[in-house]
Amino acid sequence: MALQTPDAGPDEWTLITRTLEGDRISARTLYDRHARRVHRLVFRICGDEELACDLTQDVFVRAFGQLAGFRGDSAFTTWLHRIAVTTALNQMRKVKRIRAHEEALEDDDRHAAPDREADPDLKTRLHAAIDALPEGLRMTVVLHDVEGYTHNEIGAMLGVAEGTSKARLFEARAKLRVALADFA
Amino acid sequence: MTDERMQQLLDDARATYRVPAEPPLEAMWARIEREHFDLREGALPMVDGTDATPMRPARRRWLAPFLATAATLVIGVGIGRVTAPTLDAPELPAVADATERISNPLQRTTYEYLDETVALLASLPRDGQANDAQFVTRAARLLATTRLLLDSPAASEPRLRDLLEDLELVLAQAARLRTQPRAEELTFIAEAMDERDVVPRLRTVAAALSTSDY
Repeated sequence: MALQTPDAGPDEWTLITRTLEGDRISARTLYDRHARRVHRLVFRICGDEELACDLTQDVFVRAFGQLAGFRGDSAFTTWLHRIAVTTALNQMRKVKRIRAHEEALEDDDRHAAPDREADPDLKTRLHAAIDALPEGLRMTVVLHDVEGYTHNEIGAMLGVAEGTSKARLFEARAKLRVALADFA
Repeated sequence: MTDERMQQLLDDARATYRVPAEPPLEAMWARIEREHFDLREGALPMVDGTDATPMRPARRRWLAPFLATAATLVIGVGIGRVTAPTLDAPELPAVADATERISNPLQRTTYEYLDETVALLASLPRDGQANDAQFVTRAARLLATTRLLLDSPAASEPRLRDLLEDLELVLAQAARLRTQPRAEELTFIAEAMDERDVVPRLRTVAAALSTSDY
């Protein structure tokens, strides 16, 4: 396997190589370096602490299982986060119907039109507005504006063209502006 | 709202939007280590703490390149036939009939894996029903097999890979079921299967494999 050294640096490559040889300590070191970031990423996608922990574990099990296929075409972090996004999105699709059912059972007040006096915190309103975006738009805002990925990276993670990611971000921001219009 | 103000808000969201609590890293690692290393090395610890029969003996390292080549030739050719258009969800032939027809051991093993997975998913407990004692054990064993297939050259065939990835998610949930599963857990699994048409696709692939002749 021709290993080009990406921006992950030689240390990371050593860890990857040793992990492939079955070295648990190296695997653990990789995990220690990346677990918090992966956990935060999947939590921001799913919004559930317990599910985020499960997803993080799934991501690392899958990543270690597929490690031999990592060629260094992108940074290890990008590769790992792509697995995280895919895993989280797959799982979210499965829980979507359950969530919808659960929300329907909750207090109707939660779905009432936002009242500025009752909910004056602009940050809270922004967070709620992000949560209310359609999945594709929300993912783009979370990955670009919250997590700081480039459109190129987002395109690779979500399997869409870079231009699509830009268009989604534009549309998402327009929707957020509408949602926050009374704070203008 | 101005662009500048919106940008300020979004910049702020980097630090404030859905900030998780500190994750239980040690506990999480324990499962990762168990699933990645222990399962591959033959031990098969179960979620309920008991040990099951190892799925297969640990492979000798020197055999790996030969096995990879064999897998490429056998599974790859077999799966290639699966890409041809087939009827939706055909009934599987009896295992004995199919395995008799399939002369290659690896192809037969793949067929048996798919057939056993169909049987396992058909025996998924219903709401309020207790688990069969062997259900979780079988699910964990099939999950390990799924992951080995995902890591094999067979997974380069997109249709099988998609199926295996969906099966991985379904079996991972099945392998974690409690003795008395909660309705929500069962719903997750049932929905995962329904949304991705897992069982019909599984049957289609298995049927195609069973009729492949080398």
